[in-house]
Amino acid sequence: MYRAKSKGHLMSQDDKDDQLESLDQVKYISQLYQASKLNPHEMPTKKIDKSILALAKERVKHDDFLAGKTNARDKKRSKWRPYLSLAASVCLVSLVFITQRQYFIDPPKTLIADNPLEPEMMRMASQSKETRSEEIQHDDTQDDEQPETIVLEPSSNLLTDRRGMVSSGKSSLADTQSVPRQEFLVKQKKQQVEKRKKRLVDPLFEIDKVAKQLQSETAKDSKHDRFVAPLTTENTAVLQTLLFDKLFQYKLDHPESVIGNEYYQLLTEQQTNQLLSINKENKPKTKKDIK
Amino acid sequence: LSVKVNKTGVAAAVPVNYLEQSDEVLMQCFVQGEFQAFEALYQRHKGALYRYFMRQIPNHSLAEDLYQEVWSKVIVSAAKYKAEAKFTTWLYTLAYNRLIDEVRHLSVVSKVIESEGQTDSEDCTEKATINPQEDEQAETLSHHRAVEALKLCLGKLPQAQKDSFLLKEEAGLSVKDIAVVLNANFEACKSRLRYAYENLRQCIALKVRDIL
Repeated sequence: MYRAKSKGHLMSQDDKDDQLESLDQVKYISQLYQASKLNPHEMPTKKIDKSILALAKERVKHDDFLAGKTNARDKKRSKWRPYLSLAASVCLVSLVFITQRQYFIDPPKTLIADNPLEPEMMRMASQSKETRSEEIQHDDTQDDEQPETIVLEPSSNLLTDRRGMVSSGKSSLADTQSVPRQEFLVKQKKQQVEKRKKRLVDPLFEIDKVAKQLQSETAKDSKHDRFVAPLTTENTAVLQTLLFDKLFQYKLDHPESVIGNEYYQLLTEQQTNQLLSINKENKPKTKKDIK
Repeated sequence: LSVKVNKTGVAAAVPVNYLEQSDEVLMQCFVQGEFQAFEALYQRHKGALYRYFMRQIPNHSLAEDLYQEVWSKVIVSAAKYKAEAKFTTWLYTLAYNRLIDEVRHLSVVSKVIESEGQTDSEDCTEKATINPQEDEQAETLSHHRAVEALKLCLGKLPQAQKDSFLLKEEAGLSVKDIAVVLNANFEACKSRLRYAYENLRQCIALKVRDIL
């Protein structure tokens, strides 16, 4: 209601005179407001005035915001800017060419993004399989292990190969960074081979371990009751059987090996005879045949 | 302006009355490195800008801070100023933008005030229509009381109307320049101004009657 009224009132005024100043109410309010300006308290303090003027003075003295100075400096800069940018571009391009010269002269046919080393290694491994491989075959039927072929690649060979490739331009300089990784892989392979060798030796260790256990058990029995015949307890019997099994298996695997007397002493007479019979026959027998 | 070449070709300093120069010329002189030009410019506009902030923000210390910041901005950005634009328009545009940045919630507050203002105005109108002799009564009041009433009423004015009113009365900007500063439509600014004057008149009439 108010809006409609006032709007209508204003519109009528607007029609008469478009100028705001001509309105009486505007004149009246304007006069009142101009009168309110005379209040001396509504002025910035001298402190504020001083700080602002000091800032302006400082800028005029020291700063280079002034139009003339900035323009002159800009002109000087803009004069040399294209030459400088051109020189910088030439330097950059030549630097890239010098560092990657081999790449530009003879670029590699294929770029392997993920791991450039692996295909190269595979190729070299297949070569060395024929010429320089060292095979360690282990036929361990008891452990159900399949015979394995381990390829040993001497690190020195790999290194020389890689460096040779770089010098001949077949490989880029970036590939030489992968040489330490290659050495690491070769080392890992070596460790694996060592582990397998140990595994081969392991039966002897186990036999020795069981024999020692058996010895200690029989010693305990004899201490406990010296009049009771040895090798009567359950533990010793079990250990005896275990030791016999291991010796028997070892003898079958290695017919040329000789079992020491210290082991025979721990076994029963029957077991000893069985082991000796393998020696006499001089040919491997299965466990089942003997039984 | 301050340097004049005589017949012998020697440049001689000529005293310049900066007070006679326009704002735009003074600004150009300042950009050229004449500190006195800025001083004259500052003396000319300091009161109006200070009051502009004081009327806009009830917190006086904040208003003073904003006042200083705007002048700092003028000093720093003097080189960017183009003489084609009116100095007061540029100055109050800086002031208005700073004000908006600082008190963004004013827009929310203004809505609340606007709604309150409308109810006040309605009351004013109703009362004004009930008492047709009120205008005459207000005119007979002492000038001082009316001025005080104006200050109070100005605080109650909706934000958009207050902006337009202060730019008109304090900065002396035309409606066109106000539209530039507020980044608003010309007609909208004109309408705001009319409402502002009308609301103030009614409010003053009420206040003065209450005082009496």
